Formats: sequence, structure tokens, C-alpha cells
Amino acid sequence: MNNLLEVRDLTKHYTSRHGFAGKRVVRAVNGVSFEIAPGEALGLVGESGCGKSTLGRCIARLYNVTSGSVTFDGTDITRLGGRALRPIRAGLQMIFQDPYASLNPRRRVGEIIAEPLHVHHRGNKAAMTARVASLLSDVGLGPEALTRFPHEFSGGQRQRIGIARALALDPKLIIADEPVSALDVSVQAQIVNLLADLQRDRGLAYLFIAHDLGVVRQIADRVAVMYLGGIVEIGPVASVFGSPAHPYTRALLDAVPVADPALTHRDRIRLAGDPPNPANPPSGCAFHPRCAWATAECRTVKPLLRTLADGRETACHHPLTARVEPADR
Amino acid sequence: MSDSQALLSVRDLSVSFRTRGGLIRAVDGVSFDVLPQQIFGIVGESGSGKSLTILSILNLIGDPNVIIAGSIRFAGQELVGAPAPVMRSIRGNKIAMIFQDPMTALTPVHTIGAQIIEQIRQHRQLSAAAAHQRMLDLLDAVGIPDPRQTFRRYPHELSGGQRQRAVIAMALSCDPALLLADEPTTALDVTVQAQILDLIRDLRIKFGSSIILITHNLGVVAEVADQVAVMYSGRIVEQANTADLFANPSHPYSWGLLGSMPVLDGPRKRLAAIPGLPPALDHRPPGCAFAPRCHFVRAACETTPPPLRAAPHPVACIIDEHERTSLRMEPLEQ
Amino acid sequence: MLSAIIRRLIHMIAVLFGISVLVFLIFFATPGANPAARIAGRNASPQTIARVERQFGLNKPLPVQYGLMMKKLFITQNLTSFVNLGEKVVPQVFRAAPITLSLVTGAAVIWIGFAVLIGLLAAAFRDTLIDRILMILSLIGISMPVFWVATMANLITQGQFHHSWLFSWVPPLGYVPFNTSPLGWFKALIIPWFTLAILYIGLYARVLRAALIETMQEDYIRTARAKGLSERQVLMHHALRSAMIGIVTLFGLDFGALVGGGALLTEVVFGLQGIGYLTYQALETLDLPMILATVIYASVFVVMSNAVVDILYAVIDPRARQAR
Repeated sequence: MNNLLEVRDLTKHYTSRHGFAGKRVVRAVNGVSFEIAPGEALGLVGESGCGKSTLGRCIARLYNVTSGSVTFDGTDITRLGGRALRPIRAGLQMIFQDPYASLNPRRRVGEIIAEPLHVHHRGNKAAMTARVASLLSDVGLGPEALTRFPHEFSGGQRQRIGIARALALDPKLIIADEPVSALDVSVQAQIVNLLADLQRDRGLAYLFIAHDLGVVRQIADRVAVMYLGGIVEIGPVASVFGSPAHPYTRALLDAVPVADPALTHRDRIRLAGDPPNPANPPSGCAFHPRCAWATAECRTVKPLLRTLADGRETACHHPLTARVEPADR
Repeated sequence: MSDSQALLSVRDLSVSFRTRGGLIRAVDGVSFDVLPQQIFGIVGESGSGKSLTILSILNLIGDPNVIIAGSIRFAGQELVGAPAPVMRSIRGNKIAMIFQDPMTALTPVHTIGAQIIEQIRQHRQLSAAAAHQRMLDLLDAVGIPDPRQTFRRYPHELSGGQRQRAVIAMALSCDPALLLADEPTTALDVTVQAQILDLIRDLRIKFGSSIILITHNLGVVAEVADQVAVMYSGRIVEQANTADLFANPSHPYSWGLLGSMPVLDGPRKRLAAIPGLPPALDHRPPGCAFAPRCHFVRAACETTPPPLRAAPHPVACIIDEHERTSLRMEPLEQ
Repeated sequence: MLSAIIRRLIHMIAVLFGISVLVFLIFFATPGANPAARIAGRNASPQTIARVERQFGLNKPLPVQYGLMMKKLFITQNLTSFVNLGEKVVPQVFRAAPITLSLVTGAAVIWIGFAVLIGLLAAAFRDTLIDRILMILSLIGISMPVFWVATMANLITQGQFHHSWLFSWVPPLGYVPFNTSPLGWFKALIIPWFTLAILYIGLYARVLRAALIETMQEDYIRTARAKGLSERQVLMHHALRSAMIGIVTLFGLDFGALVGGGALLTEVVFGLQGIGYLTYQALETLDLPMILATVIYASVFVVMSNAVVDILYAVIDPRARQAR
């Protein structure tokens, strides 16, 4: 086995009280499987409520898993808790969307970055100080940052601090949950470049969760598209974004506004309505009520992920790629 | 573009705040015209002054320490310094507003129908039944399914896209001549954003309103705007019609913004990010505010703010137009 | 809906059980509380005390005593006082309850009305002289001890000014049942109402002002202004309801506590023999049955007013309607 992370049939259900009608089960993540190789960046895209953040937090074991398994670096971490999880955490770190909320406002930046080193007893004081300084320079901050507090920094700089903290223990995998979506465009580009550089220089693997397809394309080697708790398409970025197989992937790509007025009136498909409620998913294919190509089969039979000729997988009875190139088969 | 044609004509608008450290000028000498039925985009990052610019049109900044100076003429009427009753008769009537986050922009304790009717009857002498009918027509016009049921719903019972449609329906209550849209799609998912942008494009045709749309997303501007102003640190640095701006961006900041946007096609290449951060408003450099981050900065940039130069379209950069065109190719080839 | 009511009833029974056990245990842990010795009187012989213990079941284990007492309180309703021998406690509570309810309900109407008025005015004229004067008055209202206000009110209306035209209508201290004379009831209570309300007017006005000012920062207030509404319309139609949520929470707690006996000082000074008065007497004489009866009565009201608050939430805030 040479995968760094293996997720098998991961399911996360939670119950929500709904009016006087009683409890309802919300299927936030529903039988998701994928793997990440060492040094590989997997993008996870989808709209709000599709379960991508919940999935990320289940893998990081911030949430308990309802069923399925998560194997990290050869260890099954699905049911590990507390102390047993600690050595795993050294290798698997998280970066969050709001860097301000995830940094203790009363501690100096030097202390924040050194904290994981203390918790995991890495080296003596002098070694730690040197390590923190080198981490800061790796993320593009000067040593003067050490003694300052998080509120003295801009959003982009705070995200750099969050990244430095995540890197402190030399993790093998970083789960980044919308790490740049709170930032302005010009700063966002700086952080995207930084994350790409770190991956190249340190052989990091990413699970990169974002709703911005452009940002994902900039970082990820492979990409998984989620809809209503399940993966509908997964494969290399070039093929998934270049010629989407699942109608939802296509709609998602078509919806992205393009900074080129010449392209605005190109032929594209528009989704009507909103994603369905995960507490009450449609029968068959979850996407069928919004799909232009839906057939009777789609309304009744739930499509499973299957591998197409180019190696990517899609959960669609009638993949678009098969339509575009019918002569190939 | 002469004043007589323009529906809205903003001249030398400045928005300042009195603070302990003295006056802070958040919008500094902004001028632009909006023509009838035009969609005018204002692009900028946070702190660029784009929101304050459109909030000052309706005098909605709501801070007792704000000072608005300059001129905002709407259909021949001066809005800067207009008395409160005059402003109230314009707000929601001739000029209406759409806000960024539809979740927080609607009062949570009233149904969307009641909120729309309230605005209609504020400005129109309509019977309750006629206002009710108009409200249903508006909900229908913005594509809310089943208005006869939906109008009874509270904001939290609708999806984000539905809420934004309701906000837009409310803004259209009195057939405004001008709609001010402050990041109307930023809080929405990308497929819903596409729906709302389609709707905004339709509105101009259906309702004949001019629209000022502010956004940080160049893609959104490219999709819907006719004319675009790029703002940086309280000033307009470049203004052009949309096709021209994207075909021939002329300010180094505009290049940087375009270079910062990841694209979905073509070969993957490193983003041409702009180094550094926008200046704090109370520490704006004396010359060009972009100079500290500019690849092409020269001595003259750091002394006096560059005026908007007219050719080929207004650009606030002292570098010669031809030289700029050749420079522009460099950072993009990085 | 039904399940919500049942849930609340179960909740209430659990609270009542907990409180009654607590009161019971605290009582027996209190030094000098030995009821048998008290009932038997001073210098009673050990034999007499033992007889009393047997007669009142005080020699039985505590859980049995607790069970017996609860049975007498709730089922046979013939629990008698340890102090005024033979006096049944349940009818006493039922005699006192309407007096307290009249007092507190009337005061509540007054304090909510005035507090909303003052809070709205202060918020509308925020940071002006009007706001400052109103807030200083509220602070004075909060700071004046209720027994002092009550005594002052009595001195003025019952004392030297009683025969002036202004106060000649004021009846002597005490309660007049509503059934006997509605006007007499009103006259007897109007001064106690205001006395009790003053503190809460000040408190609630300040809380409401703060809540209104916070609500006025919300995005939807800017939307309301952008619709062309006047400041008055914005305040009344869009800010007030959200701002009332905090007031309702406070109200539930305060109303429950007052009805449960918290209006003691007002009751004592105005000679109103309500629940507070009753509890006070029972505590002074360490009369366990009476303490239990009044405490349980009080907790019923606290739990009930919390239920009312939940309903009010749903009325005010549609978002709360489905969350419960």
C-alpha cells in the first residue's frame, strides 16, 4: 500500500431537530471513498452544504465518523481518540478559512507557531527558536513577527501564520479548508502561490477544500467534485476541468464568471433552483432533478462511481464524455 | 459622455472620517457618469472605497463622523447635502439598493411579502390589494417559484439564492431608475451566482434601470458590466468600457488583478500576484498609492498622485501609454 | 405541539422534585431546626418530644418522611403547619396567591410599558440630552431600594398629605379582592404597582436601549433605510422586535421570581399578605410544611413563566418557531 490517505465508504450522519415533526437524519457525507498518494494534492470542490467541509473534518478526526474508515499512513485512525490520535496529528495538519478565529489572540506569533513543537516535545528551546524563525521565513514573514500578536497582521499575513503553525511538525498531509476564500484577490494569489511552492519544496500532500474552481486548479493534481454528500466525479484536474464527465461538474464550470467579455456569451448550461436538502435527498441520482440529461434510469437507480477510459471516475449513468466522443468506444 | 445624458453624475466625490488622528480620506476625488440603462461596474479589493462610494450616493453610510464632499447629481438633482426628507423620497423609490448578504439584509421577523409591500406603499399611493398584487408580480418577475405561497415565508425559510431574488424584487418595487448593487453575488454559491447575474442582466431590459454593480471579482464585471471603473485605495485608477478594459488593461494594478485571478483553461502557470498589501488609509503614500507595490515604479510616482489621463481610456498612471503597453507584457510572461 | 407540552410537563415535574428534595434536605441539615422540639414547646420532656415525633412521623427515615409530606401536600392536601398547629398550608397558599399575582401582573404591565417607551426614546435620541436624562433617571430608579420607595410612598399618601386633594382617594393599606370591588382593588394596588415597577422600568429601559442600539447596526436596518423609511419606521418596524428578545428573557425570569415570592418587601410594607409575606413568616419560624408549599408554588411559577417566554419567543422571532 503506497497511499498516504485512504478513505473508504466514509459516512457522516447527524440528527437535527426539525419543528415539532421530530428528528431528521441529515446525510452530510454519504459513502465517500478516495485516496491521496504522498506528495499529491487532491482538490475537493462543491457548493455550500455538499459536505466537503464535514468530510475534511471527519478525516482530520475533528468529527466522529458514523461509518466507513480513514487510514492515514498505514494506520486506521477511524476510531482513534485522544492520546492515540496525537502522533497522527503530527503528520496530518489543518488550515482553516478564517485564520483570525484559529489563532489565539492573546498569544504572540512566536508562541503560536512553537506550540505544536512543545506539545510534541520537539527539541530544546534553542532548537525550537531556530525552527520557528525558519518557519516564518518559509511562509514569507520576517523575524519581527515573532513578538507581535495576531491582530496586528492583515488577513493574508494571518493565513501565513496559520500555515507556519501547520508546517511546524513537518506534516505529510495538510487538510486546507477554504484557506484563501476570505482573502482579497491580490492576497489570495500570494497565498495560492505559497501553498503551491510548499507542496513542491516539501513534498506535502494536500486535501484542498474550496468552492473556487480556479484556485483548486492552481494547486491540485487531482480533483473530486461533491454533490449532496457524495463524490460525483474524481480524476486528474486536466481531464475533469478540461472535459467534465458529470453534468454537475460541467454546470459548475460553466457557472464560473470568466474575466473575458468575449467568452460571456459562450454556450453553457445553467442550473436552475437550489441543491436539494440533504435531510431529504431525491431518489436515484441526487442530481437528477436539476439535470438536463436525466432519464428514467436516473430517477430510480443511484449511479455508482465507475472508471472511464481515461482513468477518472464518475457517478453518472450517461457521462458527457461518452456523448462527446461516441466514436471512441 | 456629456453630463446632460448621464443619469448619475459623480464629480470629485470624497468621503472622509473624522478620527482622533485627524481626517481619514477613504474615497478621494472619484468622478464617473452612469448612463441610462447602463450597467456600471466598480472593481476593487476591500478598503478600496467602492462600497463607501455607492453608499454615499444615498447618504447611507450612517456614521456621524463621516464627511461627504463633492457632487452627486442624479437626474439633475444634487444629492450631496440634500435634506433628509428629499433623500427618503429618493431612497427605494428612484434609487434602490441590493446588498451583499441576503441573509442579513432582510429583517428576520417579517415575511418577505410584508417587506416588499412596505416599500411599495412607502412611495406609491396604492390600495392594500393593489400593493399585494404588485408584490406578487415582482416576485414572479425575479423568478421566485410559486409567489402566492412564497410571499408568506420568512427570510430564514428561503435558500440564499431565493433570498437574493426577494431582495432584488424589493429593490424593484418602485421601478427605480438606478439600482445600486453591493457585491450582490459574493455570498452565493457559484451556480446561484450565475442565476443572479443572468437575472441582473435581464432586469435592465425588463425594468430599464441603470445598475451600479460593485464587486471584487473581475469575472463578474466581465460578465455583466458595460463600463468598468477599477478602484484602488479610494481612487479610480482606470476606467473603460468592459471590452476595452479586458482587451487593453492599462494600469499596473489592473494587470496585477488580472494576473492574480486563476483561470480555468490554458496551461497552468504561476499566478502573477501583486506583492505586499494595499496601504492603510491613514498612511497613504504621497504619490501614487500603488507605487509601493508596482513593478514599474519610478521616482516621479512617489511624489504626486497621478491624474487620470484620457488616452486610450482614463488611466491614473504617469508612465507613457506606449511604454506601458510594452511593459505590460513582462509580468504576465513571468 | 403536544409532544412539546408533554416534554415541558416532564421537565417541570423533574424541577419540582429536585427543588423539593433540596429544600427538605437543607431543612433537616439546618441547626436548631428539629421540628419535634419546636412543636413540643419549650422545656418539653424527652417523652413529650418522642410522642410528638411519633405523632408527626418524624421518627421515620427521611425518604419516608419526604414521601408522606409530598402525599399530604399534593394528594390529600391536608398538610398542616408545624407552627400554627392544625392550620392547613395549601389553602393558605391559595389565599395568598391572588394577592401576589395581582400585585406583580399589574406592576409588570406598567414596567414593560414604561420601559419600552423610555428605551425607544433614548435609542431614538441616542447621545443627546434626552437620552442622557432618561438614562440617569433609569439609573436612579434602579438604585432606589424598593422598601425605601414603599415607605416614602406610604408616608406621603397615608401620612400628612393623605387629606390633601391629591391623595385623599388612597385607601388604607391592605388588599381588596377584585371580586369584591374592582375599583377598590385598583385603588389599593396602584401605588404598590408603581413602587414595585420602578426598579424594573429602569433596568429594562437600559437593557432595551442597548439592544436597540445594537440592532440598529444590523444590515437589515441599512436595508430598511435604503427603502426610504423614516427613522421612526425603522425603529418601530424593524429594530424593536428583534431588540425585544433580550427583554423577554429577562421578563420570564423576573416575573417568575416575583410571583414566587420575590415581591416580599413590597408586600410587607404595603400590608399585602401575599406569597412573599407567607414565605417570610414560614422561614422565620422554620415551618417546614409551609416552606415546602411556598417553594414548590414558586417553582411552578418560574417553570411556567419560562414556558410562556418560549411561546413569546416564537411569536416575536419566526426563526425560533421551528428550532424547538
